[in-house]
Amino acid sequence: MHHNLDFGYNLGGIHPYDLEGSSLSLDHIRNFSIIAHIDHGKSTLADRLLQVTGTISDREMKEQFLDKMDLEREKGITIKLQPVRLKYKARDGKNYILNLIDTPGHVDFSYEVSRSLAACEGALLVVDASQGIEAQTLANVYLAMDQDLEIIGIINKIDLPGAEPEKVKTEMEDVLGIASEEIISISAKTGWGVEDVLEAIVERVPCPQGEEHGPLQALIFDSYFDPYQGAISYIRVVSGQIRRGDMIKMMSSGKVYEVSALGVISPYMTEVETLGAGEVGYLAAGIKNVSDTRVGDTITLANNPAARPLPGYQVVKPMVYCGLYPLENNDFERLRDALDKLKLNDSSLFYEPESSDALGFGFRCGFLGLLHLEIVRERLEREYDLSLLATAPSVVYKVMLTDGSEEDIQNPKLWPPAQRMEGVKEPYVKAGMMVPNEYVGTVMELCREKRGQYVNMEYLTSQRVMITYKLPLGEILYDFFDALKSRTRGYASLDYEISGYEMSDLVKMDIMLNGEIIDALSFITHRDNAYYRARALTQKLRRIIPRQMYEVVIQAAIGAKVIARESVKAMRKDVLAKCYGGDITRKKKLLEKQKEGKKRMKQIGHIEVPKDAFMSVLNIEKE
Amino acid sequence: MKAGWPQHSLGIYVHIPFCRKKCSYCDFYSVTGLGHAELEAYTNRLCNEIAACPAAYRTKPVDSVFFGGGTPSLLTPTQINRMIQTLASSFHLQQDAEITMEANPATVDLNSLVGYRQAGINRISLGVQSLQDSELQTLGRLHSANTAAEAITAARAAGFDNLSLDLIYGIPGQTKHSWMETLTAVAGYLPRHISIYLLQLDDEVPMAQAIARGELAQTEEEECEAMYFTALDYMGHRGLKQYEISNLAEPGYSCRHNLRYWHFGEYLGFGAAAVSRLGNRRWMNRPDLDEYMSGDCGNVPGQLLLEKMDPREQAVEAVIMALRLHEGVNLADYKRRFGIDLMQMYKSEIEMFISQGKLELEHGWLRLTKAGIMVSNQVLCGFVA
Repeated sequence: MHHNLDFGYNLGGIHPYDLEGSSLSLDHIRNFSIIAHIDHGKSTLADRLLQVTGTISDREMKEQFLDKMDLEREKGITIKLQPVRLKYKARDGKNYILNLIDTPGHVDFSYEVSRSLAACEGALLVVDASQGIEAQTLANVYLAMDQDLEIIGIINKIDLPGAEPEKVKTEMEDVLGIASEEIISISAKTGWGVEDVLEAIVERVPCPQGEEHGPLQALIFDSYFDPYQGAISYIRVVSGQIRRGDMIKMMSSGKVYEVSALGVISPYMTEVETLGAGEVGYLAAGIKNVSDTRVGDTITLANNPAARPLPGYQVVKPMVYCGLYPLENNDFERLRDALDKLKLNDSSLFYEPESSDALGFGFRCGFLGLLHLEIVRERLEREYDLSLLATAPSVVYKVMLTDGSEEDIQNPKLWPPAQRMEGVKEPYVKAGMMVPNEYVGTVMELCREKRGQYVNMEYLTSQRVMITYKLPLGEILYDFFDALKSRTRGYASLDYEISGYEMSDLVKMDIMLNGEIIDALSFITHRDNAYYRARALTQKLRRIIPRQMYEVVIQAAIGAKVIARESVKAMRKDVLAKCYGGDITRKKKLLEKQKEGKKRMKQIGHIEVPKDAFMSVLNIEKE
Repeated sequence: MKAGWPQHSLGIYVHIPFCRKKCSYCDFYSVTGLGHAELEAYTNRLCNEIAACPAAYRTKPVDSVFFGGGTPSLLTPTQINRMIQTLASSFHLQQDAEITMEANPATVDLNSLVGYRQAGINRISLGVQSLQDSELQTLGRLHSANTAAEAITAARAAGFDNLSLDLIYGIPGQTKHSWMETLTAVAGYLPRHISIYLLQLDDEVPMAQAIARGELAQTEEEECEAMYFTALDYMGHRGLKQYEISNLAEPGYSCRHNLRYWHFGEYLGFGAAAVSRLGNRRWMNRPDLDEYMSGDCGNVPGQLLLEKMDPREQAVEAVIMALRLHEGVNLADYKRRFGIDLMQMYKSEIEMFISQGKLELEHGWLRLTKAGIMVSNQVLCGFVA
């Protein structure tokens, strides 16, 4: 876990906290976030702010400084949020503390954005000078407006050839209501205009309000697990003061802990004696379990508690579930350990043991979205050296039963028999897609294919349209975003939020190999698509299941009714090849290659099924 | 597996990389269009390589020699005789050694066959392939069904009792019916041994390209499988019992030289493209005639080390090769030879394959079942380290 080790290594601080005094007056503090559509330059601007303020030296600078995980750098995205303290001497000659609270950029993690925003008074809204406003820009601006944040409009990448800052300025004024004369043009890459951003933060972001001498109220806006210090919480002190050695109480659980370390990140962990109202920092209190520092909880003092907790956050519910199974059956315990460890840092991860007839023992895991799923899986494989098989992701269906009760089903295996079912509801999202005018037809067609319901269409400018559809979450899980991007030559942007449950005519499709249902391959589909998907999937499986000793019959069935059938013929011809003295080396190489390939197979009964087969349920439309 | 047998003798393979014409399916190394002078020069060079063979390689008795190709029958009996004489003076060539020569029916007649017999060849393997003219044409062979029949008769007349015929199945256009006709006709010649080879095409060969262009249709795998079992069944009833995946023989007529490969025995190869395995090493003379000819004595330019095997790798190869045999692996012999109890070392794999009906264990012999042969790679993978 590089995330933690980086911090652990720097503990104790080679960067002393050198601002005079320990209690800062509130009017010298500014708390702000950066919000942007993915790739509009949020992380680059953060890097530049760190550099311009001298928070890090040029020598220490590396790209995406705040993104500690390898995965974040590789994918060029931010997953975990990060608070960092900048010291800035403004043009008015005074020293300010600017707390930058980084936000993740992907829609899977939008709940983290709202958490960051709750700890701030202002937000920098970064828009790319050639791309203009995108779907996520809008979504994030609305989140910021909900929190009454001061929004500073910034146009980035003005040094690029395609930049049209004036056009984008007009767009921001028209669509977002940001006065064009207040918008700052910058190049985060070169640093041009970044000083103006810092000045604007000082001038325009309100200083935090809070009762400096009242009872302690501190909001936990994130937490992670450090192997040396236990759970570390990122906090925003709203009122009162917290001091090392204080006995603190978690207002949700009433549990009491002693503060063992308190500090700020600038950008390394730097210990301080106290944190006062308006300040942002971290806290360690020998807490063993991250679940005891629940994000959104309020910390107060045990001997002088606040009367009321701060408004918290909604508990995030997983939207997407899938089964994760170790390819090696005896890795089950190792997988459990790895999930336990990951969970310490990722409170949104859900898992419980399950078993599959086909795959043995594994875990049913819940995620915020597919990217989250992919990241967790990759971390498990990479950081814990596990080889995993993931079943097709499923959303949570609400099944109404004939006895009047309702059940949440997130595993097709648990789908009740038709005669017990009154009806099914599936989750829908409200999806906003921003596209250039000429792609409107294409996008509408895609949405129709995905069983979308048209909501409305809004022209932001004569060229740019915001199309809103209601779409079943299950339909957009896998390749919707890719399809949207490729069909619009990369111009479309997407944002969505869960809009609720609606009745749907859904059926469970079982896949049988030689007459046996392979539970891990079952999936839920709309009745209208059932025949098409059954055919496509059985054909696909026929291609990817290698020839075996026996013929393998692949069938797709709804209930007892088989609606598609394919078969994989037995035998492989190369086994009959002759093998004399000159052929032996080649033969052995061939066997080694085949053996390597076998590692990607799962033995089900007598049939060897490639690992990929279980995900193939999802991407049959792609071919 | 006869205990101790393969380690105490040596086999010699001699590669003759010449053909009058390349067959459309063949990816073996051979050169066409060479005249008598070049074949004579090759014979000289080969004898020169044999004579210069290091003394350390010559300690074991040689009880099999195999002239393979290419087309060994492009050489004259005199040239073959010189090679055998050179081998006899350089190695402990056993009196009763099996000396095989591959021959193309289009290149032999009674005269030459008598000559080969006199030169010391005592086993002949005729590349008949098919007894259907249309199939022979598809294969790009020089001979017709009639020519093949004449060659077989001539070989018999020349005194070759130990006669083997090669057949190919899976030829584009071949049917179960035509295959059966070929089998029937072949059985009528009462060969002691036959090899049945599935047509396998490297992507580069002309026939593969013709298939890719849609000019020829590949035979379905199911059809090939049926042809294979038909041949085993039909020939089995006529006294030719399967003893290896592609080989059938009357009792006592299995090919001793080829058994050596499957018994993990040692062999030396001479000539361009020949492969050798002695001790823990396997090496080859590169398939480049000019390069080979530029060498002198034991110096073979471009000789290539293919493998250096540790004891475990040798033991694995021994299993992989022995499982090709109809009799399978004798567990006691194997343990004596390699110090490994297979049933212990591969317990879970073997039990699984037995439960799946791919392997069977009988009186201390472990072997592939009839159905197991069709998925033998799966089983063999279980033994690969």
